This record gives sequence, C-alpha cells and structure tokens, in this order.
Amino acid sequence: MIAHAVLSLLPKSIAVASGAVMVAGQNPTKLDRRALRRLRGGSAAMIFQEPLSSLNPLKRVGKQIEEMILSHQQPTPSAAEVHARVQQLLTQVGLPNPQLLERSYPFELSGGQRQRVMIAMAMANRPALLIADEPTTALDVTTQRQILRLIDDLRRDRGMGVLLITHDFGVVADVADRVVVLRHGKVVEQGTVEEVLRRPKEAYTRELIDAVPKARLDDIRHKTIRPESLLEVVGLQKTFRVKRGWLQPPREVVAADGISLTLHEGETLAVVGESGSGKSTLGRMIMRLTEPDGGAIRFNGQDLRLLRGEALRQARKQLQIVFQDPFASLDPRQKVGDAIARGPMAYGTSRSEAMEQAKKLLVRVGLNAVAADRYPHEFSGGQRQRICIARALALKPRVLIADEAVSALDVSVQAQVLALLAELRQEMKLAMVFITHDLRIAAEIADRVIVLQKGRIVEEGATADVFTAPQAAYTRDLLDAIPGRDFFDQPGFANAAGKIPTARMSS
Amino acid sequence: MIRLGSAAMIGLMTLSRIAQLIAVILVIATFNFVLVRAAPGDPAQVMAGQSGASDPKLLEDLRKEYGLDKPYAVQLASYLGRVIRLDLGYSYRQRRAVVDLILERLPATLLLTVTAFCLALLIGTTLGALAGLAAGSVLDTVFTVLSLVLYATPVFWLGLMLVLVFSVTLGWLPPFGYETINVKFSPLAHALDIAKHMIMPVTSLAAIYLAIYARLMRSSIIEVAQQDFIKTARAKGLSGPSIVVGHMLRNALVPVVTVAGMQAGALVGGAVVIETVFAWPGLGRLTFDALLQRDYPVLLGIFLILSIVVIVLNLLTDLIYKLIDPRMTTGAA
Amino acid sequence: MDAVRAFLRHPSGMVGLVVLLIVVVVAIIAPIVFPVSPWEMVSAPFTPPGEDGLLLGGDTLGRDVAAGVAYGARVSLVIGIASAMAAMVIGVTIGAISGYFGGKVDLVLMRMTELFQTIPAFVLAILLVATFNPSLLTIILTIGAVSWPPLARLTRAEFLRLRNREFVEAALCQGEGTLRIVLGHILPNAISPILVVTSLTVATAILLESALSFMGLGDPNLMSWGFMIGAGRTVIRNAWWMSVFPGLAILITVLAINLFGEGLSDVLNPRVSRRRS
Repeated sequence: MIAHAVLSLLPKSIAVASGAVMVAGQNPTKLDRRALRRLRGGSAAMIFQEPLSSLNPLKRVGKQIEEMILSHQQPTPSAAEVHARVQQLLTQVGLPNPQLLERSYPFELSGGQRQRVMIAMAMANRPALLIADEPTTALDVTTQRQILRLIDDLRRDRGMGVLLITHDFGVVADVADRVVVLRHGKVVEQGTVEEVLRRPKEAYTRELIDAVPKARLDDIRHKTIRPESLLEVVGLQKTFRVKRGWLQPPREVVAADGISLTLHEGETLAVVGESGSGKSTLGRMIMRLTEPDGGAIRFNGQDLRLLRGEALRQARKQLQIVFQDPFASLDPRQKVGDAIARGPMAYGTSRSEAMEQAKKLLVRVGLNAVAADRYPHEFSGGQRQRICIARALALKPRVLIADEAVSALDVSVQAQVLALLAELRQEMKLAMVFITHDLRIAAEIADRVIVLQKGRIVEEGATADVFTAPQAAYTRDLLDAIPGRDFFDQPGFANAAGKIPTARMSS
Repeated sequence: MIRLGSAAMIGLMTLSRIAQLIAVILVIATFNFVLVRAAPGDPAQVMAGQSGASDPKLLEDLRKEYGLDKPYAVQLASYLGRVIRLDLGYSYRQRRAVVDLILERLPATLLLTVTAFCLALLIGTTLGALAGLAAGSVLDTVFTVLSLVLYATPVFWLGLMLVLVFSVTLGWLPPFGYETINVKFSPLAHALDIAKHMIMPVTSLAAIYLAIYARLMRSSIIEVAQQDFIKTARAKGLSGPSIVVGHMLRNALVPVVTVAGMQAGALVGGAVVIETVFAWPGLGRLTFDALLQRDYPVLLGIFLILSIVVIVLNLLTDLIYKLIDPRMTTGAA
Repeated sequence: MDAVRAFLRHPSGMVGLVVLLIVVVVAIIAPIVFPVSPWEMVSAPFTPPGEDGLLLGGDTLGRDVAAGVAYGARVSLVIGIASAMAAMVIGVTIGAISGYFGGKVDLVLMRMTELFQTIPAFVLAILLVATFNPSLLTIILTIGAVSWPPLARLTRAEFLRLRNREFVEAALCQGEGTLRIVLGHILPNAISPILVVTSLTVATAILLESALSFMGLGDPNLMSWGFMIGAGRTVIRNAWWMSVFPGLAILITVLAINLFGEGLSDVLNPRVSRRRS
C-alpha cells in the first residue's frame, strides 16, 4: 500500500506530529532481525487500509492481540495479566462487550470494529509511533470520523506520534499538525497544515487542494428546474436475502423500502448514502439490472418494471448508466471504438456511421479519435471513465445514471470528469441521477439531493437547503463527518472552489 | 438469532451429509437401473452375465424375480426398495449375494485407501509447505520436478515399477497379496506381515495424490504469504516461525482440504487399479474378476458401494475443514 | 500474438510443447517406420531390447514393443484429445447455462455436477465401457462423460464472475441481446482458463484410457499403451521391457501435456493459474 501510494500518480503522504526517519533513536534499516522485531509492534506499530484482510481470518481477535503482547513483553506476563490487558485494550478502543468480542472471528465484526481491533493490537505495547496507512479509506464517512477521532484521542492521551498516510486533504485538515506532500516518491512540500493548505507554495499542492470538491452553496441552480417530470419512481421495494448455513434464517438486507422520487428534465439529482443504504441498488433497479420486489418506475408514460424483451430493449436506449469501476466497465477484449459503436449498431445504425459517431464522441469527451482503435488497457482510469461516458452517450439517452462514477478516481482527475459531466449535461439536455457516497461531490454537481439510509429516503430537497439547513439527524451526522469540512468551508476557500478545472486530456 | 455451538453445528452438518448420502444412493441406484436397461441385450441376460445367459431357466427366473414384465416405474420402485435394504442382487457366477461378496472385500479396500489418503495428505502438505516456504530454492525445484513427474505417472505402472525394483530385483518386499499364506503368525507378527504387504500398494497409490497435495499446498502457502494479515503479523514483530505456524499453515490448508475431498473419488478409482496390480483382495480385485466374467450385478454393486466410500471420505474432509475454518461452522460462508 | 511470444519465452512450457510435438510426429509416422502391424510376430518371444533388430525388445508372442509404443501414441493422442473435446463441450454447455441463468437451473445442474464429481469416475468409466462394449467411440464418450465436471464448474465460475461485470451490464444496457452478450463478451473473456483446463484434461484422459485398457477394457483392435502394460504385468519377472517402455511413453506424454498446459496457463491467465487444482 505504501509502495502503491508512492508510485501512483497523485499520492500525498502526510506526516503528523513526530515524522522522523529515525524511530525512537534507531534507524530501522540498520537494525538486525531481532532488534527490528522488537521495534515492530514494540515502539512502532502499524495499521492498514483494509482491516478485514489485515486480520487473520481463522484466528479469534483476542488471540491475535494476545500474540502481540506475548511476543514483545519480557518477562512473559501471566495468562491472567495478558487477558486483562486485552480486555483493557478492547475497552479503550471503544468496542462494546469486550468479553464476547475477544472470542469473535474477524468475519463476525463490522469494518469499523475490525479497524478498532487493529488499533487495539497496535496500542498493545504502548508504541511511541503509530503508522496508519490509509486507515479509513475503506470505511464509511461516519465510521471514518469515529476512527480518526479515536486515533487522535489515543495520540493525545499517550503522547504518541502518528504517521498518517492518506489521499484525502479533508482528513489532513481535520487531524494533522504537519503535512508532507509527496509526488512520485519525492517530497513536494512540507510544513504545518495551516501553511500548506492555506498558502501552498507549489503548483502541485495548489492543484490538489483546488480539486477537493466543495459545496458551492451560493449557486442558485435549483431555480432552473423545469417542472416537467421525466422519470418517476413510486414506492420501490427491494429486499436481498442472503442464505446462510443450514437451519438459520436467511439474512435480510433491505435495499429499498418504499423509495419514491421524481427526476425532472435536465435536472441533476444526487442520491447520497453510506454503503448498504441501497443507493446503487436504486440506480440498478431503474436500469432494470436488478429486479425490484415492488413499486413502479414510470418513464415516458410506461412502467419500466412491466417491460420485457424488445420493449425493454427499446426503453433502455433512453436510459444509460456509467459505473464506478472504470477497469471493470470496459470489455478488455473489445476495441474502444467498438465498445462505443456497438450500442447504436444494436439499434440499427450502420457500422460505418456508428464508428464515425464514436470518434466524434471520443473527441468530445477529451480523447483522441485514434483511441477508437485501441484496447481499454492502454488507457488510465480517468480516460477509461471518459470512454464509458462516451459509450453511454452514444445512444443519445435522456437520463444518465452515474453510479459512483468518479469515486474510483484520484481527486484531480475526479474534478475533471465532474466538469465534463456538467458540460455534457448542458449540451445534451441530460437529466442525471448522480449516485455517490461523497457529499462534497453531491454538493458540487447536483440541483437536488436525496439522502438514503437503509433503503429509505430520510431527506430530500434542493442542494443548498439540504447542506445549509439539514432536517434529518442522519443528514447532519453525514455532513459533520465530512473530513475537513470546517477547514474548507471557511471563507478563504469559497473563491478557489468557484472555478472548476476545465476538462482536459491529462486525466 | 439462534447461534448454535460448533459441536451442535458439526452434528447437524453430519446429519445433512447422511441425508445427502441417502440421496446419492438413490440417484446411483436409479442410474444403475437405467444402465441395465440401456445396455445392449435383454436385462435378464445382462444380470445373469456371460455364464448364465445361456441358461433359459435362469433367465426365466430372473425375469420373474425382477418383475421385468411390469412397467418401468414399478421395476424401479422395487429395485430401489431392494437397494435400501442393502439387497444388491445375486452373482450367478459366484453363486453368492453381491452384498456379501462386497462386504467381505471392503475392509481390505478401506485399509488401503484410508491409509494412502491420510499419508498422502500428511506428507504431501508437509512437503508442500516446506517447498512453498523455500520457494525458488534447490529443495523447492527438486520437489516441484518430482511432483510433476509423479503427477504424470499412471498409478498402476508405478506399482509395477515398484514390484520390478523391490521384489524382482532386490527381493525385499512381497510382490503381491495381502498376507503370507500358509504360515501361522502371532497377532503382532500377522499385523506386521500385512503392513509389509501394504508398503508397495500404499506407496504407489499415495505417491500420486501426495504430489497433487504438495503442489497445491506449495502454491497455497505462497499465496497466503502475500496476504495483508501476514504483513500485519510482520508489523507486529512476530518471528518467522511463529508467523508460519500461527498464521500461515492453517490458512494455507483450507484450499488443500477442499481439493483433497474432491480427489477422494479419484483415489478410490486408483485403488481399484492398484489392487489389480498387487492382487490385493479388495473391491478392485473383485472388479477385475467381475469384468473378466462380465458379472454385471457385482459391478453395479461395487459402483454403489465405492460411491458410498467416497462420500464417507468426503465427510472426513468436511470435519477437518470445519476444525480448520470457523467460518464453516457458524454458517457465515 | 503477445501470448504466443510470451509462450515462446516460457521454458517449461516450451519443453512440453517440443516433447509433445515429437510424440505427435511419432504417432503420424508410425506406419512408415513400422510398416508391419504391431500385432504381427516379428521375432522369437521374449526378445530382449536391442537384440534381433528390436530396439525395445519383443513381447510374449514376439511382437515388436517399439512398434506397439509408436502405434499406441496414435491411440492415446486420439482418445485424449477427442475425449477432452467431448468433456469441454459438455462442461462448457452445462457451466454456461448454470452460470448465466442462475437460480433453480443452476441449483439442479450444480447438484448434478457435484454428484458426478463425487462418485469414483474410474469405476463409473469401467461400468460404462463394460456396459456398452469397448470401442474407440464408447471409450471416448465414456471418458468425456466422466471428465466434464471440473470444466463445468470452471465455466460456471467464470460466467458468474463475468455476468455481473460492469462491461457485461453495460452491453445489456446498450441493447445487445443475450446470445450476443454470451458469445461476444462473456465467452471470449472466459475462454483462456477453459482452454488451459481442457489441455490438462487431455492428460488425465490419456491416463484414464491407459488404466481402462490395463484393466482389459481397451478397444480390442487397437494397440494401446495401457494394454501393453497389462500384458506385461504377469511376465514382469522375465520381460521387464514389456511394461517399462509403454509406461515411460505414457509418463512422458502426460508430463509434456501438463507442462504445455501450465505454460499456457501462466501466459494466458497469470492470476488464475496458481489456483488450479
């Protein structure tokens, strides 16, 4: 992960508090194996991005923490002492019912709980330095905030140094004292958070900070909504049943519990929620990729849910989707031009005409026409997402569903793709359903926002209203959890946020 | 939510395996039934075998006994009823009930297969783990080449080569049979005598599966070594051996045990050939004799019984699996 | 093209390919090198290797073991390849239906596949060949009928993995039909592991055929390696060469196919190759 962060195109490595190369007066690269083992987990402990894969799946979590203690403390403490210490650690990291928890296996815990276990393990020998490598990237915003707060509290209580590696400037603004910005493994800039974030000296740092999506609440775009409704979802229901072992009732996950919404012509509607809120399922149900259990999806005077075969195929032409993962969205064995032209060809356009059109679209989304003859693996993530957008638009749809369409991209690329979508929306008079877990992005692009929690709409309204005067407690929690909100919402940043970077080929 | 203890869970799983066992028996019996009717010639002739087919009275009796003039559904129902009562028919060649013939031979086959299976699993995973941990070393290369060769060796030929070397050339081991005949032994000496006879059949049978498990364990270890939680263990400052024992072995065993279960059928098939090579008085030998005489009821019975043996071996690997992986017993996976 | 070039640089894969080509050449030119049928007596019984112009010796009836080995290559390769093809057709069809449609169809087909994988394949093969009398065709069909389950499971897993991939869903949203999606998007992306496993199935099919003919269930008109070993078994004390050489032929052929298949696997799908059982 560190290697990945250092080598990938837009990594930022941020050091907090003690960021010395020398750890506790020792240089790790010069230690012998035994001393290195004492250092690891002793004076310097580490937590990782993926708490599930970072824990041994076949070992009780209590045992995994015990092991950390037993392998470092001399003389070896008694079983009772170790047990007491494990209990104490689990309590410290805020886990409920440590007695039961200690006997659990990692798969029985939630993502946040697993990360807490990792932290408990790291804290076991009272380290002087905690290295946290993207510790919250795999977690939801609200959990992210809790974990960051926990790390910060522990740091303060213990006087411990924390080296936090993250790609998110919001997180930096929230918890860090000092920042080091890395690019291609080289330090671009370093200093206190105030200095670097407010007065970046380097153009690269500037770019990164500008690319952080910010709510443009002064914008009054919601006035432009035309009253004609285009797509109407009424009382949509969906429950997933996950079969478990023998004799156990299937686990039920409610993905949609009576969702109703209206999408107007030319409007961008953001659907936000944490993982498991059912936001992606909603988009997939509108596309009929997932069958709803009940409710109606009205489009063009038809209920999409009742369509089959050819009628469904014809209706789908007007609704298109862009998926999250640009690497999985393109057939690796199909040339980019074919990928775009296949759609129109399936509806009767001649091959030469469809290819001509595909090339034009490629140019429009900021790529070169010669890209048509290349394969997807020759393109970067951002470029692929542009191709996916071109493919979706080839059928001239009226509704575009963007399912986390920029979530897998680096921040600066994200900003460019968002800008492209905004432009295309104007040009092609598209109505857009923008599904995202990132409220900052929703605020930047949407006219209206719907907040989903466990398959229910908890809040709905114009973007500015939802962000400035949230009605539901859950919405407030989500807003509070946005990393770096206090920092970036200060007046000094409003201007910088106003201008969207223009869509460029560079992504 | 009801959370069952793992002992109770294993009990339930065993029950479900038994249910599966009965289902499989019925399906295989039905398959046998269809096969007899699909075979060229009259079912009565098929059942009587080459020896009995020329005897018109026997054929008449058979037709009456199996109700061959009745509709297929009735015939099938009565046949399944017999199978469930463990009546697998009568060998007209050997003039004995098939089930007696089989049960008489079953212990020898079980002794051979279970010993080979356990040895292959034990030694194979150990060697595989060693090779995986030392990936790229001379030891690893030797193991890899050896297991590739073994994997390509016909099991019966390997047996013959062992006979050629250890019996014909060196004269160390008895070339065939289960025990030395016409000699009175004390119980211990008798057991040792059987063990001596077992060495070559077990070795040739186990060697090939040993190679499979070793190869699998090797790649499994290499894969586990790249997992994040091994990075965690290293970041914890654990020593090399405690990482291997505490974190790698168990995780690496999971896929090996899965495959071991799936290979059980092949192992039993291998036993049939090996018994033929070594004149081991088990079901394989019985199969060979029945084949020579086209003693069809015996072949059908052997197929059914050996399928049951495979399912029992599967049950065994299931239990090992459950001991290794907690996700299996709590029904999370 | 890249795959071909990568394969040419794969040492063990190339060894496998070269040895395999030699076996193929031997099979093709067998009638030219040994114009006399391998069933004909050409010398005194039990002629040791090297004597009387018999490179690999003669058998109990004075037949040329070398001729038998060369002709046996034809039988093994034909049966191995044809029955692996049969297994692929059965397995891919069942796996594709199971993986693409899912639900009850999948449940029924997978239960059936599991059953076929559980029962001792070799014993079933014995039963089938014995029932329908051994001939080239029945042997090929029988080996195909007991070898398809791994291919069905693999195909199903690949289809399951791919059918929910975004690019397949995108094709659906773009109005492409089921058949087009299956043949145009899913199968091309699933084909390389299927080819790898099929190539390895050729090896197991050859082993299975040799075991069947060792048990006396080979096509009585064809000289095969397994039959030769079976014939040599009882006289191993007097004529070791009768069973050693045909066995080596099987070993070398199967090893070559496995090396070739694994090389193919490394080149075509480096990620999956190590997961194969």
